[in-house]
Amino acid sequence: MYVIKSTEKMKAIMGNYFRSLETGEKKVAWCTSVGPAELLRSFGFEVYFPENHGALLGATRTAMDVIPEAVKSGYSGHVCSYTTADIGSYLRNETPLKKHYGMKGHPKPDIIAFNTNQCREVQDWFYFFAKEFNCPIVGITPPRYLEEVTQKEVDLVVEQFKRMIPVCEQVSGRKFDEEKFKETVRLSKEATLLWQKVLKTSTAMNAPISFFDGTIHMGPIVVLRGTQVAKDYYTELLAELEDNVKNNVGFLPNARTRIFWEGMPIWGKLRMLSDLFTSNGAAVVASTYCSSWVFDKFDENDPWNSTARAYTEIFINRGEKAKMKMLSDWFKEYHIDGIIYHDSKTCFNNSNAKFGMPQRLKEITGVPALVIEGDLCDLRFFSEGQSITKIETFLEQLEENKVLG
Amino acid sequence: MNNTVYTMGIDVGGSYVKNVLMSYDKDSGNHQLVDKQTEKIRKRDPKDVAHDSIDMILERNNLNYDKDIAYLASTGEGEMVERKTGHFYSMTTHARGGVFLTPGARTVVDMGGLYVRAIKIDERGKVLDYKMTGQCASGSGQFIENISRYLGLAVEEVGDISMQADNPEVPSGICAVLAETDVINMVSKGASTPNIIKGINISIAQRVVKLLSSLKAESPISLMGGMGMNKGMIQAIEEVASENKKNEIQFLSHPDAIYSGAIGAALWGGYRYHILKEKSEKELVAS
Repeated sequence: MYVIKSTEKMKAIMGNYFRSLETGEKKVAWCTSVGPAELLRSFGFEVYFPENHGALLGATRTAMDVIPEAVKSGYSGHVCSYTTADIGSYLRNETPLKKHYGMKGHPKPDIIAFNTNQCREVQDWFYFFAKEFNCPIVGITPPRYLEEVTQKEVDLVVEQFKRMIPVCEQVSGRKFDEEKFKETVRLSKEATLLWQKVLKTSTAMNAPISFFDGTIHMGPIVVLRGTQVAKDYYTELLAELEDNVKNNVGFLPNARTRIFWEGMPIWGKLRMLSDLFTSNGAAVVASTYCSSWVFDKFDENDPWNSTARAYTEIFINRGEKAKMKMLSDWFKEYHIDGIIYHDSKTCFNNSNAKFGMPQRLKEITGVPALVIEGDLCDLRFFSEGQSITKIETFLEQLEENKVLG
Repeated sequence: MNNTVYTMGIDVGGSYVKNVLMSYDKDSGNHQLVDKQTEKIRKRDPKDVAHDSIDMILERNNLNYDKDIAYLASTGEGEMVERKTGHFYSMTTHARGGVFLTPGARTVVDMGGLYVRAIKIDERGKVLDYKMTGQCASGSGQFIENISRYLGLAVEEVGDISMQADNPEVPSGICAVLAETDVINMVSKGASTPNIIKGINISIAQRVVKLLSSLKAESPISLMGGMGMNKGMIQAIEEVASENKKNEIQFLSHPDAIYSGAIGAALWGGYRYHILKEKSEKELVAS
């Protein structure tokens, strides 16, 4: 059985990270997953990412137990299930952080920062906790759905980033240190470029890391970017995967089809889906999701402009033309035979199947598409039986087209 | 020397196991449907249901599995069938079975217990494209079964009863749960059983017609699967298509529509049997 050996190291890193949030050694900043983590770290904050907790609630299938608690407080069961699961988990004081990492519960924030580059939900979500913990909250609200990101948009975001400084200075008790900021951006850039290389190892026909593995190994690039720990981890992971490519070792040798996953993971069904694709000879080799933490524009010599640009240019914040261009390029790079769109019931912003893009992209690229309905956390929106039938039918057809031409 | 080759096809679906015995006459080149068997799975293990069904057909026809059956082909969820010779993808089997039952079809609609799938094929039965209904039970045969159980009907009666409707009541909800609530409401309002059933058939027919137009399906369209035996459903599809100005579409149906997957599997099994036989004969000559 194929095993990525670095996984054990990654688990240890994530454990240390979570435990560090409760030691009281550093003040804690909460931040959205594609928010200004580098700036926060430069003030000496340890950074906690509620979305990561949302994913944990999804993966442990405990989200459904706690979502009703958030619904009782007026949050619709049809909005982001990261939001409702996280709020519900807080209200019930039930979290897998206790069992998995020995934590007391949600780590107490000293400051909360969000960036609506991904969706508006994060704003409502983070305001709930700012009120609960009575702590300062700062928000970045960049222009959205851009085909092209020009200097005008970048300037706007830089200005908003800079407005965070006085609040961060007050909460941290430290003056803003540009050199520290540059250093954090450098470390973040180095880690993110390594992560990009990790993902690209699966351009090899015998791919060494699947989308499903990627959702696990992306932990450090989400929660620890801007640290030496993340950089070191991806250096090691990359060496292992490159070695595997060199030795022609992969997770599914002789895969009959290569698949691209678009949209959110279905956290509670990763294993089931991974097994389903594998047993049908299909290798899921790339995704928009895992690629969302590649910020290749980071530049420590121009930290403000480059971070503002990188965080505004992310896939989820782009217009359809830009998204289709990115997807077409990935299709070629990863030799993709078919794309699966996860139309996530409660993640409207990261679902791209609702406005006809699958049909339009298929016309341009010729790559067949399948839309499956589900959700990131709330499995009540996912029908396993129907999804299996749909996926198997899709894979059958891809194979047949490949054989018959 | 016996010139007849027997193959079996077994299609394990969400609600039923469908099983056929087919014969192929080497002289005339004709395929014939010899026997058929449908078994509702209920709460049994589909593997056992399939096993028993195969035995019943063999016994009825005085055939011995090892001696007489050239190929046992499974399809659908039939990969678990123990005695199968080989497994075939369900899209190719439904397409092949659809063409066998309704020659000339250019689109085959597999209307099953769990979903509806429209398959566009070329003149040889090769699959060109397909579309499936989304994640919603209100477009499935199981939904009709649930409603008919609620109304105290046997599923076999549903087709005839639907044809008696004079003022169909179409449920408003596209979700099966809401549609069931609608049906309860209709019953309490005093709507007749034929009008309720016809309304349900129309609501499913609307989804089928939408699916066909998004696939840009070509006529003639063959209506297969379990729901393809429901005369009321076929009538509803024809009416909805006509309302949508699709009068030019010709719909084909067949009383054995539920067996399209199993028939297709048996035919593909026969084809593979001949290929394998030819290959081994050639190898014998070569050696």
